[in-house]
Amino acid sequence: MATCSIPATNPGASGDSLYGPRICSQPFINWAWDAFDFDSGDWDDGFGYDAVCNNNLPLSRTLSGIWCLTYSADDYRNESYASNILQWGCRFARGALDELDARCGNGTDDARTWWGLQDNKTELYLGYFYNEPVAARAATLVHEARHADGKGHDNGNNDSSWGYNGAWRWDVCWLAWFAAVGTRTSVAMKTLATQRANNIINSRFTTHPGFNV
Amino acid sequence: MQNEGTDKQGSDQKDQFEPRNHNRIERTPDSWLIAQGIRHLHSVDDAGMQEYRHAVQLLKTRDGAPKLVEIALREADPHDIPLRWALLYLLADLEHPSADEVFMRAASQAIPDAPRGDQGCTTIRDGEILVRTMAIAGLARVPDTDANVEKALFTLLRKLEEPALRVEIVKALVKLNPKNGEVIREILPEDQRFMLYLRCADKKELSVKSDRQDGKDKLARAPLFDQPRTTPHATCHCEEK
Repeated sequence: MATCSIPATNPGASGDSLYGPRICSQPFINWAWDAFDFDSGDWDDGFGYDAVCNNNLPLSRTLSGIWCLTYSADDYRNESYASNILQWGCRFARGALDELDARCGNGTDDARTWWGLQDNKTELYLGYFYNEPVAARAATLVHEARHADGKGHDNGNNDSSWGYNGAWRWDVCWLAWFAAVGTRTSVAMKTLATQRANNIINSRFTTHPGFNV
Repeated sequence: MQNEGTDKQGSDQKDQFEPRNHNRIERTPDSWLIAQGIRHLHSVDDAGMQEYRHAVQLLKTRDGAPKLVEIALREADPHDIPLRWALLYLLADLEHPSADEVFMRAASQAIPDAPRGDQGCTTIRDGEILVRTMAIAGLARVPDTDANVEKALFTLLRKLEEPALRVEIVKALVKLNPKNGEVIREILPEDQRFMLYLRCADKKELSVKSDRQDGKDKLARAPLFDQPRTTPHATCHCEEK
């Protein structure tokens, strides 16, 4: 068993001061717990199961990412796949992700998903909880859900092209729509989402798509 | 992350998590102002946004504000990407005439390699690129009376090799002066000159189609976000005697 500890962190900077209080509501926690298939055995031992509203702990930070993914569209009740990914990203993620487990990881990486003929699951690591601001965590859930749906990367950890329609494209699209029309968030979080989307476009595709957002 | 066959099944064993105190940056009255700015950076209510604007206005009057932000950057945990990004965002909002050197140093730091191992698609390197992207964006907002900012951006363009950062520098330089394109073209290798012609993605390009269809899944809908709140149940592990 690995042991890790909370790194230096500032909830104001990561957006957890904004989103943390929002997740601290029993109906939301109950819904998210079932919808994303959390198990207490994967979130106890200090990861936050016994202190779900403590926004320094991994469980609160994961739920903040889920809150952002769920409620950032103005009309969030419309989850139709005919609309943009900001509307249906959460629906897709909770349908595709089999279970979310908290682990230490190597200290900086964010998440990993297993799918196919094996135990399907997504592990979230320290990099997810502490290196990613809230909106990036939401986009990572979309990214991992794309993997869980059976689409891996086709060039190492990168995608060969925009047309490959892989997890990086989905990541970018969610961030771009969030930055463009997302609600219940800060100007700074939208700026961060735009920069992150462009960083992905400019570094994660073997063939550059020829645009930025 | 990716699926890699059936033999690498992640960590079957559970991990353990230990609490530790979180980062504090408020030690002097001026650094307290910086902390106030960070605290209200993501505010969405009028009062919180007002607090942020007040912190920015007060810091603008402090000649040493960029230096203080740089000290806070130096003292921040290197892995605390959100805090480092937020400090640079705050400094950018100051539009302080002497902030250029701080942004320059933040942008030109060497990017550490990601640790070996295969535990995620996003690594610390992505976070480091994000921090430097904010530094470049901040540099581009510094009032540029003597073309110092332009010079600094050209220096960065020659120095930094990471394509994601070069794109940001090119965009900033062309925005400052469209005539910079000629010089940029001479600096960039041929396979990177496309950076001069990037367009803004349209809605159609940012659409993705899911194979899933409406009406096929039976997923529970999220509760209304503004419904009456109840705090989580606390479980008592003690037994009545």
